[in-house]
Amino acid sequence: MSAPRLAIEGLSVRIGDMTVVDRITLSIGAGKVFGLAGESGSGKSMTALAAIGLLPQGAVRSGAARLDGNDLFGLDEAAMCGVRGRHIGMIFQEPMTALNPVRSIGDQVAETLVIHAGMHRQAARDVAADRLDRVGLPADRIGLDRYPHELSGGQRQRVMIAQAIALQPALLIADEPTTALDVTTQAGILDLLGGLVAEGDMSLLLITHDLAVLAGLSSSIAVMKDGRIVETGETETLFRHHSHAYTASLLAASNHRPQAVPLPDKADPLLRIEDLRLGYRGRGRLFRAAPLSEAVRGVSLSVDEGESVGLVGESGCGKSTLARAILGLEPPRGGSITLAGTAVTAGQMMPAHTRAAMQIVFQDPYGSFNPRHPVERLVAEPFHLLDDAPTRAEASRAVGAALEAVGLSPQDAGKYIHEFSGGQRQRIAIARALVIRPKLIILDEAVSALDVSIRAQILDLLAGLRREFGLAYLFISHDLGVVRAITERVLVMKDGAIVESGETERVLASPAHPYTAELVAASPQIPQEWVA
Amino acid sequence: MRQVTSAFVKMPTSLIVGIMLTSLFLVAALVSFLWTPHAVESLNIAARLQPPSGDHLLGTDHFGRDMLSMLMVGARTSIAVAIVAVGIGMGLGVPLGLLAAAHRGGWLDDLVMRGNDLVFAFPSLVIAILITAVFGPSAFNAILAIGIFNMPVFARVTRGSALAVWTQDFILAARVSGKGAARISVEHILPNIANVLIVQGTIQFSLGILAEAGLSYVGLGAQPPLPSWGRMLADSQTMISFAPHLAVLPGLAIIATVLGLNLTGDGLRDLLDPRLRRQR
Repeated sequence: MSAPRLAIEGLSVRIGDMTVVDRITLSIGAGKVFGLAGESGSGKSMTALAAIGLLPQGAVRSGAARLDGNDLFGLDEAAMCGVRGRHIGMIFQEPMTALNPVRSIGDQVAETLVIHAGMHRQAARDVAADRLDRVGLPADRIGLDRYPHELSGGQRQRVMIAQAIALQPALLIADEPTTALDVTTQAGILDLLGGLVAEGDMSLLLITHDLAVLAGLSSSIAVMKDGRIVETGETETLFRHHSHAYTASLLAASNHRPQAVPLPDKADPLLRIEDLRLGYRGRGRLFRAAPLSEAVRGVSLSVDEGESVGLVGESGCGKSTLARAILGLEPPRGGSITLAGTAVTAGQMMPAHTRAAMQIVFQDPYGSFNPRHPVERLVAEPFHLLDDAPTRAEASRAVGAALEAVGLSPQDAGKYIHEFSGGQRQRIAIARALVIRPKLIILDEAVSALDVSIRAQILDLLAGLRREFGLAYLFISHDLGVVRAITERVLVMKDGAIVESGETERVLASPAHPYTAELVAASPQIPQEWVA
Repeated sequence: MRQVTSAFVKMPTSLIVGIMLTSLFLVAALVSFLWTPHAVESLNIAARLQPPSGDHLLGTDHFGRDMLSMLMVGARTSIAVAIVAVGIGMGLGVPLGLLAAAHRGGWLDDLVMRGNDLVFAFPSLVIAILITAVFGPSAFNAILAIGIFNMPVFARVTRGSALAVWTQDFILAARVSGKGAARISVEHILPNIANVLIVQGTIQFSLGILAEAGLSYVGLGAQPPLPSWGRMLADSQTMISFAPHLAVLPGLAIIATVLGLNLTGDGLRDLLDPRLRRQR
């Protein structure tokens, strides 16, 4: 047996008094994919940053890391710069910010070659073209002189991979490489990464929170929690015979389905949308009409009272624009929206009681709240819609009750939003939506930014609230697993139109439209027999 | 009482130092209304250019006037000019900036911002000279001139920071709650750009003091016999080789006030942010 590609022995990272990585030992074989799984704050990214010497200021590491038997921690910064990029490549989560917006993609890939291999600029560009071709961006379709803003998120991620593998490093570290991408794009990137490892000698350290991603790609997995590796082993063995309770709870959480909510026998239609058209007019030129880009093209749908309907589609398909129109924030170009018998019109003209019948929960638990207001004021904001605004005492009681309904304490009302974790913030967002007892809550990717265990809790909470208050949900998501867990009916949206709709189970089990089939196939799955 | 002390303990050091420096000059300015060591109008040529002594703590100038008294009364002019000028700038500029941000991309936005550009396009000192030339040189006209040129600065800073806040989800949540642009601007935008405005305010305050000094230096600000720090500087320049304290003292006063204000601004920004407040 040969020496491992990367061996980490007893690695600890401390920031101040906090131990963020606690005596970790792992080894990655040559040409293997190693998965490092864990929830946010488990120390998985810190482990990778410590190995390549890019820890944030103030963090202290101890232990040892060896690349092909060569000590990494003994190297000074100058020598480490020679290792990074040449022997170890790294790709990050956010494709939007990881590339320099004012340099062409060819130059950015060639830069690595010029710096590390001392290549001539023209030779470097030739190699760059070859690498971009390898990651699925052939020069005759996507020119080397394109700029990052001309590419989609998935294409940018491919450029980043081309940059990382330009010098054929021994080890590639990928930190949540597909978390910010759509499912079909994610499937393409994962295929590419798997292919790169399979065809050469490169090893891949894949850091992710998504066990399903690892199931299809990695040969072994380490599960991290609170800075420690709680369990490690061959992928299939780990899924089949995990011994640690945390691994079990992670697996359970990622497949979690809340208890089904019984539907009322006869429900009245609540939201009805007919042939809705939405679009933006671009900037016109002299003597030329402004171009019209249609985000939503003739969508019809309905949601009954107490029903949970999923809206699935990739980014840019128009689902968020549709949500904004339903909330009366976007004037339609055609068609109609009716909520509980009243027409929804954009702007100040819309009657307050119509607005009061619906609320929204956003994806980002950090941007959803004014950081300057205490929770009480944040949650009480929708009271603005009521004709007879409640007195201070009544409002404060209602806020307390709403906080209790989402599993927080009424005492939390006096705190500020930064004192809460992401999952707690999402609970507060639900409390804010709940406080005026709307009939419909639009959940726009409301659980996408959460860790699996927190996500499972929020899904349970949503199901419970529906049972208690008879709420209807319009659940917008790109995650088919979550949609399956919480909706009865699903609408699949592509390029501003609904291509398929029907009962969630039936649509996802036997999709009729090729696009739905593509989505289902692209969703990473843990094989059923592994977890049975 | 306990709350007061605990609030004081939580104050950042920079704020305490800043407040102390600033209040030193504020108190000096206020006391000068009631009492000064010597009358600033009384000339005593016999006692001119004296070094600091028991009778004249900071010495005397070329007319034999007491320097400490001059500085105290001068603080009045300088601080009053700067406060009112920042007040005019903020009072007009911030609402204009909020208005432009609320109608971003619309004609109102264009109108406000192009109007700003128009004011920006004129060299401020030249306009100040014009105003004082038309209406006569006085401290009041200096205030007006400086204030008008503060306005586009605040409008621009306000609009720029407000635009970033407008894209946040909590603004969308407020709109879902049926709140209009004006209400959102006051309730959600303003508190979130307050830190930028406070810092900009202290910068403009410092610049206001400097601008007043500059205008007085060329004889367009406070008129004799009313002393101001800028005029004291201007008067002393011919004597800098044999009586340097005449220039150094008002110069130090300007530097210390500006420094105190900047420290106060930074400290206030930290204190007003709930995220930083609780961590201390």
